[in-house]
Amino acid sequence: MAATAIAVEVADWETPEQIGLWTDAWRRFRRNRLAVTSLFVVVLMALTAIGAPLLERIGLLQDPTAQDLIHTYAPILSPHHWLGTDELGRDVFSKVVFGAQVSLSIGFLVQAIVLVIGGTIGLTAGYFGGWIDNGLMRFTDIMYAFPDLLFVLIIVAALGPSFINIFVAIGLVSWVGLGRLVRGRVLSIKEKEFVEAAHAAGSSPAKIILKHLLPNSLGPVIVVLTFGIPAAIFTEAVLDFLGVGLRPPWPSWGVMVFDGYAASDAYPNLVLVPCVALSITMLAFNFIGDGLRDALDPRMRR
Amino acid sequence: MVPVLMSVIFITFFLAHIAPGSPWDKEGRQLNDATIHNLNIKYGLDKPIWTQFGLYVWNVLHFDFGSSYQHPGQTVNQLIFQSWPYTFTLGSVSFICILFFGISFGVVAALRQNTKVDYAAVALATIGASVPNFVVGIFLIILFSNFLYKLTQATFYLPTGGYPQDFLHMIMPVATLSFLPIAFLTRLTRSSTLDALRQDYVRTAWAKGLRERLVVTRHVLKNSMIPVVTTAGPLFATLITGSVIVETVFQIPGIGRSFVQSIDSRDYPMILGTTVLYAALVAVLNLVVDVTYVFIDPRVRLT
Repeated sequence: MAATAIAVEVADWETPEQIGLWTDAWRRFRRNRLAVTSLFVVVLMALTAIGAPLLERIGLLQDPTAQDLIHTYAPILSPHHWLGTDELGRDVFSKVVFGAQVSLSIGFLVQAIVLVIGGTIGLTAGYFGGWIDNGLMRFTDIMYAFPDLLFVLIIVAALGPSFINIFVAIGLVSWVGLGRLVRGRVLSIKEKEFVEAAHAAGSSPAKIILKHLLPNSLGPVIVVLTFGIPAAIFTEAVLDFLGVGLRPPWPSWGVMVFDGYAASDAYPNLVLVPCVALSITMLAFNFIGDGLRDALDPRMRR
Repeated sequence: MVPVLMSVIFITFFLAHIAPGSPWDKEGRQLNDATIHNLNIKYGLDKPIWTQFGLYVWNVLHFDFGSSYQHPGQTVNQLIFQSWPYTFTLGSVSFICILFFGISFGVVAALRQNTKVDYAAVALATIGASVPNFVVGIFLIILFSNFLYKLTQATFYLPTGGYPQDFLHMIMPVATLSFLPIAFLTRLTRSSTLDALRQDYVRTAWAKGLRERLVVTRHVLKNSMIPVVTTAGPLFATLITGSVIVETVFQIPGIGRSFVQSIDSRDYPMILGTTVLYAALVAVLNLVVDVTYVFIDPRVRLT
C-alpha cells in the first residue's frame, strides 16, 4: 500500500501525463496549421457536396443539368451565375459543387475497396507466410508491373463507363501499395512478445489478426489511405478527361474539363474553374496526409 | 519477369475480350452480317477464345503483335513504330529534365536547409505532387498560348535540327510531363541528402578540411543517390502514365494517345500490344535497377 502511494506521488511530480497514441497524434496533428486548415476545407467541401440537393431546393444552387440557352457563356461574376455559365447555359458554380460529390465519393469509396483487398491480402500473406505469402506476393508483383492508368483504362473499357465501374476499376488497381505495407508491418509485429503471449494463451489466428495485428498497423495504413484519396480523385478526373470515364451531362470535374477544353481559347474560365477545384482538393488531402504522417509515425518525431 | 509478362498478356487479353461491343460496330459504319462474319474469320475472332489466346502468345513470342482493327491494312508493329519516336523524344527529354532539376533542387535544398531556398523547393515539391498534370498542361496552354504570346502552339513535332523552334515547341509538353516527377524527386533527394549529411564520414570529411565541393560530390552525393536510383522504375511508370495524358492535352500522335484511341474503338491487338510493350519496358527497367543497385551499394546482395 505504501509503495503504491509513493509511486502515485512520484508520478504526479515527474512523469508527464499519460496519453494514448490517438490523443497524442491528435495533438500533433492540431499543431500543424496547414493540415488543420486543409481538414477544414475538406470538411466544408464535403458538407456542401452532401447538402447540395438541399441548397438547390432553397435556391442557393441551381440544377447543374438545367440548360438556359439564352444565357450561354456568361462571364465570371454575372448576377445569377457568379462563376458564369457554360456552352448550354448551365451554372458553373452548381456544376462544381455537384462535381465535388463525384470526386469526393470516388476518393473515399476507392479507399474502402483498397482497405478490403489490400488489408486482406497483406494480413493473410504476412500472418501465414510460407506458400500463401509467396503466392500472394507474386500476384502483387504482377499487379505492380501494370502501369496503373493503362490498367484502369482497360478495366473501364471492359466493364463500361459508369460511376460504379470506375470506382471498382480504380480500387482494383490501387491496393498494391497498401497490401505490401500491411504485409511488412505484420511480419515485424508478428515476432513481438505480445503476439507470442496471445498465441500461448490460445487465441485463434482470426482473433490475433483482428485484435493485435490490425490495430498495431493502423497508423501507417491511415496515412496511405489518406494519400490514396487524391490519387483516386486524380485518376477519375483523368478518365473523364480522356473521354473514357463519365460522360456529359454528368457534372464531374473531369467531364467539365473535357467539355470546356475545346473552347479554352475563348472561355478559359470553363476549364480553369474545375481545374482549380481539383487542385485545391488534391492539395488539401495531401496536406492532411502529411500532417497525419507526422502525427502518427513515431519515427518522424523529433 | 517472364511469368509476370505472361500474366499481363493473360489478364489484358481476357479483359479486352470480355468488353461489351465488338470492333466492327463503330458508329456510321453499318456492316451486314456476312461482312462481319468474314472480318471475324480474317482476324481469327471466330475461333474459340483459348485458341485465340494461344495463337496470340505464339505470335508475340515472334514479335508479331497482329494487325490493327481501326487502321485496316496496318500492323500493330507499324503503328507502334510510327508513334514511338514522338513518345520516345518526349519521354527522354523529360527524363533528362527530371533528373537534372529534381536532383539539383533536392541537393541545394538540403545543403541550405531551413533557408528560403529550402522552403521554396519544399513548396514546389508539395504543389507539384498535388496538381494533376493535365491541369498543369492546360494552365500552361491558356497562359502562354492564349494570353502572353505564342510561345508554342499546341503542336509537337520531332526535332528537325533547327535551333530555337525545336527547343521552344518542346517546353510546354516537357514541363507538363516532368512537373510531378521533379517534385517527387526533389523531395526524395532532399531527404536522402539530409540523411547523408548527418553521417559520421561526412563529419570526418569536413574535419579533414576538404572543400565543400569535394565533400558534397565525393561523400554526400555518392550515398544520397542510392535511393534515387531505386525510384527509376516507378519514375518510368509515371512517365508512361503521364505521356498518355500529355499526348492527349497537346495532341501529340504518340503511343499514349493511340492507346486511348484504340480503347475507344476496341482495337484489341493495339491495346494488347501497347500494354505488353509498356509492361515489358517496366519489367526490364526494374531488373536493370535491381542489378545496378548491387553495384552502387555493396551492402545489397542479389539472392
